[in-house]
Amino acid sequence: MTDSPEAARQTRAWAAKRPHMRLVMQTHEATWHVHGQALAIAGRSFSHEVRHNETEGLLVDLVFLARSTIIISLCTSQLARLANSIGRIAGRLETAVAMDSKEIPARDSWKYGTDESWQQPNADPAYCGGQAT
Amino acid sequence: MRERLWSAWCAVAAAAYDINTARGALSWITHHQRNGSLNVVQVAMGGGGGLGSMLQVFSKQIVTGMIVKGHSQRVNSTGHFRWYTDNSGCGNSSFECWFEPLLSSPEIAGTEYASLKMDLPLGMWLPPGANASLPPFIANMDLSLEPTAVTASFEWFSAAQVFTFRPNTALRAAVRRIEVAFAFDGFPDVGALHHSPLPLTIVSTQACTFVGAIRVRKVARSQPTIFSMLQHVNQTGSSPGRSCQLSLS
Repeated sequence: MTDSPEAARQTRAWAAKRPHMRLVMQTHEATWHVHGQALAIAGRSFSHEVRHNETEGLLVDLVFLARSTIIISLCTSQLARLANSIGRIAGRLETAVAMDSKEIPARDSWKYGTDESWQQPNADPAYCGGQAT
Repeated sequence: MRERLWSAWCAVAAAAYDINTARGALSWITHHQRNGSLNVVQVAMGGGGGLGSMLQVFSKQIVTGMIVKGHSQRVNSTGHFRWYTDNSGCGNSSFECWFEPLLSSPEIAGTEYASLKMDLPLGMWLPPGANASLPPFIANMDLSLEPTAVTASFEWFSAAQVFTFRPNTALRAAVRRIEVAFAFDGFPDVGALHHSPLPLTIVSTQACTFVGAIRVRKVARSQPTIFSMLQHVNQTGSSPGRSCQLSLS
């Protein structure tokens, strides 16, 4: 699940070489160039149909993610934190691994608490590459 | 040095999270919202950045709106999550375009305290047979305290997020369409979010199914976790059986 255009591009390229894999990309072409807060702003210019379809796709993905037993967050977003919250309470989530070391200890008293139970990867954690999420 | 500190912080955080408190908080919020004898205040949607940010800010506002020093009140939504709800597909609805109403219907409100039974949308998240009864330490909360002394914890934040994110009938139907289209039986799956600057590689594809950009399905709960698989893959590069393995290369 992602609203990152770069992640979408990489995944399509990856899947194109692997016909045995089933890839579900719900992101509409109109939103490929922006993500996160920029997407929230850019969406004003979308048609109403795209707005509705994009939101449904994003929320459906979030439902699936919230059912996971394991979450690996490459660049931990607030969507990932939501999935973590739901998974914890549901008792389904066993492990949430944050691959980006710089985002997790960050505090925002209006968005998340200080004890979200993310785990550190036991491989190199610097996967996010400093990209803002 | 920073990584060591972060690792230590994660260990402390993992130990601090109390699932009973979180579920108790969710129960309290659910049944509090049904209490028709309480006043209703409006909470504005739309604060924050992207949709995830807006959902989190809104959830926090729910908690701070519900519990004020000396008493509690119910909350309802007003406004929009920007274009995510402000569109013709949602028509005149906003929050309820995607989610269950924050307030229960009048015929239910105030009458369900005895049973403390969860609605279906909450049952979607809670494990089968989960008891929604209120733990004594939450049922007997001292509302004369400063609100932050009652609710300033991730357990309360997460409970509010779960209460907010209760897919309505239409959204659940959309989920079901994907399940049917791609034969998604036997969940749970494994997920990952957001961009990686490095290519994502599936070492063993036998047991993996991609959903969305970078989500991988796990076949059996008995399998080792991806957490340990990453270490295994990185150390040996080999493939132990039918495990679904990820590697960033």
